[in-house]
Amino acid sequence: MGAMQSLWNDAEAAACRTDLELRAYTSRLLGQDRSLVLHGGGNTSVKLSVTSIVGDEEDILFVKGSGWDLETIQPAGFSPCRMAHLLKLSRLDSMSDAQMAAELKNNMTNAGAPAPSVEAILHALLPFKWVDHTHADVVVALTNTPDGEARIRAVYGNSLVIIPYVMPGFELAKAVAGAWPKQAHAGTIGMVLMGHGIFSFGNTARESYERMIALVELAERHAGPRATPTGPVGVSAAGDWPQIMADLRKAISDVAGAPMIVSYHADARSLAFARRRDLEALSQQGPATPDHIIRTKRVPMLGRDVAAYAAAYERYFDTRGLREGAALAGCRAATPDLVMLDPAPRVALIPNLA
Amino acid sequence: MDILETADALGGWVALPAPQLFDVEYWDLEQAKLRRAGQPPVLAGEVALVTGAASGIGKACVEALLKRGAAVVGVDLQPLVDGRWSSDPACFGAQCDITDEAAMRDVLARAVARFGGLDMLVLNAGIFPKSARIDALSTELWQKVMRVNVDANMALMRDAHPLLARSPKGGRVVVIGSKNVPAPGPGAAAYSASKAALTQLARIAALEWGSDRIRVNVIHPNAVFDTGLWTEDVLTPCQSHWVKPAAMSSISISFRKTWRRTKPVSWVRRSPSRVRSSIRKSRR
Ligand SMILES: NC(=O)c1ccc[n+]([C@@H]2O[C@H](COP(=O)([O-])OP(=O)(O)OC[C@H]3O[C@@H](n4cnc5c(N)ncnc54)[C@H](O)[C@@H]3O)[C@@H](O)[C@H]2O)c1
Ligand SMILES: [Zn+2]
Repeated sequence: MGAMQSLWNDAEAAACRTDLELRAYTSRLLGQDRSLVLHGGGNTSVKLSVTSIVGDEEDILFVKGSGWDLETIQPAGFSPCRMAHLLKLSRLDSMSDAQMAAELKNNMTNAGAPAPSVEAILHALLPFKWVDHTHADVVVALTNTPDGEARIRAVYGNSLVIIPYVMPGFELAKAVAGAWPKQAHAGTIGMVLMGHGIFSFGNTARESYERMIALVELAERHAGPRATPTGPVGVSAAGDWPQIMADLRKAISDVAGAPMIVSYHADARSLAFARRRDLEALSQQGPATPDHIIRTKRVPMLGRDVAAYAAAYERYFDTRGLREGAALAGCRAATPDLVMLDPAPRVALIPNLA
Repeated sequence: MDILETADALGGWVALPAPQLFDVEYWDLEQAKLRRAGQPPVLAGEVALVTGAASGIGKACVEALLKRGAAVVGVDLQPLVDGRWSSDPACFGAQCDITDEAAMRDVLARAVARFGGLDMLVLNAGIFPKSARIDALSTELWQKVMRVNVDANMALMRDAHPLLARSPKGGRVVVIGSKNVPAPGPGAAAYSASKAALTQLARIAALEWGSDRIRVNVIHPNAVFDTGLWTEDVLTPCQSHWVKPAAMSSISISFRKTWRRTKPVSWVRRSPSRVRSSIRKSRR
């Protein structure tokens, strides 16, 4: 993780003719930095007053639409949602995911726009024109330590609202609605969601974006520099590794039910990680942020025993995430008709190979 | 790795508990992200190696394979200049002489490092030397043609076999022969003999490798004029009927459908519809 730098460029910003273009511009600045957002993660919004074709003026939240990536987003990638409706939704006691998705879609001013981010209601609740949200690596690293919350407070003082982990979506919006009045004040410039990511707010696009950079930089400074091995190590000692790899790929593909591409990383950085003595304890807990899980699975495979990995995944599925007893019977995913995803690993750590 | 190690250096990495992670993994709104990707293309997750990928039939094969979702390893003596070789993550290009066995083994190793294995081999690179009657044929020219059109392909098949035998859906080899095999012409002794030997090699491979679930087919093109093989003076007299390389490659891909050991030889000439019907016949 390196030093954070604002990529704001006056000339590029001046070329933006509307607030929405500016919103797309600073979103792309965030998206360019892989240590801030990965794989379509993160989202941004701007609240604008819009006059409709019949002359009605309305407050609209333009929030990142699903299917768009911050790195390449354009004005068309923002979904125009009616603020008034979002705020009413936030006052409901409960709402299913399907209901929420339908409500969000049905209350846009452009039926052709992409479906709004599942965090749309949360964006609507935050009383700032510009809102930026990322899953910054270093912030997640700080929150996911044994004394994570104390650390975050030590780094940010009371300039940020801090929300314990809640599943994204409506429940998270409700949690923020509850905590905001207790924690927010005139000096609030952002929010940390434990185990998830960070928000920054601003009255201008630049302010919100540069606050994100500054907040992440503070976390970087707290974490301090960390030496990482670099450079290629090349092919491992095992001379028959292409066949070992091809066997591994076949086993993974068989379990996945379809052929899979497997790429091999034998650079110094990856090998040093795969050879850590505490590899099991470190790697077998879970992904850095929960939305990585659909790409990475909960844990990487250690070694090459694909059948054992698949069996463990099946057990994890059958117990709905290693739940027991009442917790299992009462959980939201207890429905018997839930269909298991393929049980093949997406990441493997093989100390003598890659 | 960065996140875990940073947290570890600060006193320990603590991920969310499994139940919370499970709820996100099986959250309908996350699953919708996966569903949006839709049905994967037919060759998704599979890896093909095409020799002679820079030009003509080989280049068209690369395009056809990519369009169907395969990852492609392209090999050619000439530089692989198309942008895809540097920008498309599904492409891995190597400038390499197929007669250099050690270099080709290295290409196979790098292909495995990049994609994990090899499912399809398209033995397409070949040379068609200037016409020479037998009474004026130099040993040098004869040997050169044999080295490229036969020897190199045998070595590559041999070295690729362990990978093809580990293909999740069964390995596939498509050998590009020539109409010269069943219908040779004067002045093309080295070429015709080399392609005949290559065809016989493929037949033996089909016999030997069937039990390894590797399917071997030979395609005999004829008159695919818009390739590097045909120089202007050969082209002009016979331009009346021709098959585009793109048509050729869609034919070879159609062999993919089900695993079976087909009779490896089918003589393909001129029109794509006749090509297809002759393939249908050979599959029966
Ligand atoms: N075009 C036709 O009508 C026709 C007819 C019958 C057979 N064929 C066969 O089809 C195949 C492809 O031919 P094409 O028409 O596309 O020709 P082409 O010349 O356009 O393509 C052949 C490619 O193979 C490459 N190559 C040649 N020797 C190589 C070597 N030693 N190592 C690596 N790469 C090498 C060349 O650089 C070239 O890019 C050949 O085997 C040819 O004999 C073509
Ligand atoms: Zn988020």
